[in-house]
Amino acid sequence: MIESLRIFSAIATAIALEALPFLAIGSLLSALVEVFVTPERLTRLAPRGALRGAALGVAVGVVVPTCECGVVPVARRLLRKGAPAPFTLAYMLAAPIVNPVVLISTYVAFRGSWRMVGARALIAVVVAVTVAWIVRHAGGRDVLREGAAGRGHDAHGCGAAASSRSWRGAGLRVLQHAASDFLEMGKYLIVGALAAAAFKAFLPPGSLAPLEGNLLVAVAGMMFLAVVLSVCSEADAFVAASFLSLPAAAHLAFITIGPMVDLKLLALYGATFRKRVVLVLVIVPVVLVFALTLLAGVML
Amino acid sequence: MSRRWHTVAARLEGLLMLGIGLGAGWFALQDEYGRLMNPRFRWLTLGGAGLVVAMGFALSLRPRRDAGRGALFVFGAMVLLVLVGRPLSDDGVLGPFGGRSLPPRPELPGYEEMPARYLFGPGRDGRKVEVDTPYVVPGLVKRTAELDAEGHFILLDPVMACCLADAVGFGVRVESKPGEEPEEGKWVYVAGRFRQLGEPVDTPPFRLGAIAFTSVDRERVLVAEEILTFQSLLEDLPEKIPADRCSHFLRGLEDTGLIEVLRQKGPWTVLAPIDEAFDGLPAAERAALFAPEGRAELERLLRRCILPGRLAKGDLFSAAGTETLEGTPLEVEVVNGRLRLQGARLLFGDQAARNGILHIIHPLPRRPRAR
Repeated sequence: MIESLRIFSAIATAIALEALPFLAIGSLLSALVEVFVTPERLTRLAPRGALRGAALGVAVGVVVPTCECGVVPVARRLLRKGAPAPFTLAYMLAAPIVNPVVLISTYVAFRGSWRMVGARALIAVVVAVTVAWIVRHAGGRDVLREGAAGRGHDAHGCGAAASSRSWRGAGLRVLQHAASDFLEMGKYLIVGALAAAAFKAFLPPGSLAPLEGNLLVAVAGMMFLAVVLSVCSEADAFVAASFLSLPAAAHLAFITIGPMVDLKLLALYGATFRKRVVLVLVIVPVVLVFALTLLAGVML
Repeated sequence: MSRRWHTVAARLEGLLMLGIGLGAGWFALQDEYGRLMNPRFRWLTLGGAGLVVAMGFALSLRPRRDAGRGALFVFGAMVLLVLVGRPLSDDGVLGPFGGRSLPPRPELPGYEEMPARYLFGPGRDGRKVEVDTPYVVPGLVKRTAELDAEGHFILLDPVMACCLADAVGFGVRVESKPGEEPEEGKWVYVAGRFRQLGEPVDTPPFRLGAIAFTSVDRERVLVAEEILTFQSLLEDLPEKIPADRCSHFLRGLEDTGLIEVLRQKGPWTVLAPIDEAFDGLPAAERAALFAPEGRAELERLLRRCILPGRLAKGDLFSAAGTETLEGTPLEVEVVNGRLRLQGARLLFGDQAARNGILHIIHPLPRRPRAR
């Protein structure tokens, strides 16, 4: 028991340590948006339509590599600034999967399987577009939880500081906003990391055995495992590829659902979005990933 | 929340972030980083830690208005968990990752190195693992009663992509001669050839520390021709002592004949003072120490630097009172979190040798205090 507790503590620490730079970078990006991008400019730049918004969201996800730990603070800030929900949510869901770092790691883990890389990216895009379409009529602030939508301008009184237009002043404001986001999002991330570590530490050996031999059970089981293990999207392909006795469709389900729905993300979603939006962010990926990976399993 | 508590919480948040950033940065610079994280990501943790320190500094300058208990409580609990869980402790509970550098690879002409992970796909450079080809396979030994009965043990290749949470193990069954099975949990190199099994064989699932998922090859078994423990591949202690930095110490060992003691089975723990430690002595005292008439004093000093047993850095913290080869008890102090042995600072530690472990110290260990 003591050994399991030690393992639990070490895994929780490892997850938090792994997420720390990504959360810090995500908070910094979010703070840069807050300080340097005006709501008017954001409204002008971001397309309103669901499909165009989703397409831009996915495209931004490709060029701005962000893992799932760092993407939620950025999405929250964009929405607070008035960015359209379809664009932002599509970006948030797709970015942890379609970015080049993750696609390359998938390619390496599955020993050069372009089919696995393509299927992973395609399913992520389908989910992102579907969610964007569902929230097509929602404004940025409509999807945010009461507290997450921000009180007044911000927590640092930018109005008072706005008179300081020097780069030094702006830099300080960026860091203060980033710190605020880091603390706000970090506490939920840690709660998720603790839950994920508990599963990994206390999971009995051989718990995967019941998943072998039945495609439906294997896909569902691996999706559940991806949610509870909360492995980072940069590494999940290596974990999935190690489950040698399971079919490729189960691997695909694991690496596709994890970056969109896991325990860390559930905590972050709950702190950021309204209940209805959280339900959409959970149900749509789960249903689509399950259906599409099963289809892939039957066809391939 | 009262105004006073709010002010305190706001100030504490800045300090907490500074602490987290500095703590993560410090950890990234330790050898033990590899126990929780893939060392390739050290730079990423350092960068993130730097960013968090900068944020903490900014937050200390101007605390945020909506500071609350939530973040303080959760981050505080996490810090507590790290302290209670002792993830830095080197007792093998967490698994086989990190810590000391691996010993040199064995030189076995004609044998190609083949970690077990390559059994599950194309090998290095896309080559497939061939049956009846000589390979040397490194890995960690896993034994169970069931495997023992079959004359097998598992050689496990642990793989960590990013952090301990994604650690998995790839294994292969090894067939060894009775009585030659290595100890459970030891790192070994097994030289041998793969044999195709008539029927696939399942291995009961097992976990190894934090590695919850392991896959063992069902199709092949590695027939061991030679099993080399990492310990057997290491150099003896005298060869491990760096001649360029500890030349006076080495010369003293040769003059006093203690070098032969350090070639014996041991194991020994050697605290080797660097040359600057001897250079710090007055010239006359140093000359007298290395003169034939000062040999007894020199031997006493050098014996003070040798302890029986294999005491890693982590063990030395609780090694006060251990008798040195001089027959005096070791004095251990912790000054500002740093270890001092007989008043000497530990500069580099945990250099593994075949028959012991080496730590480099400065200055010379002082005489034990009179009781």
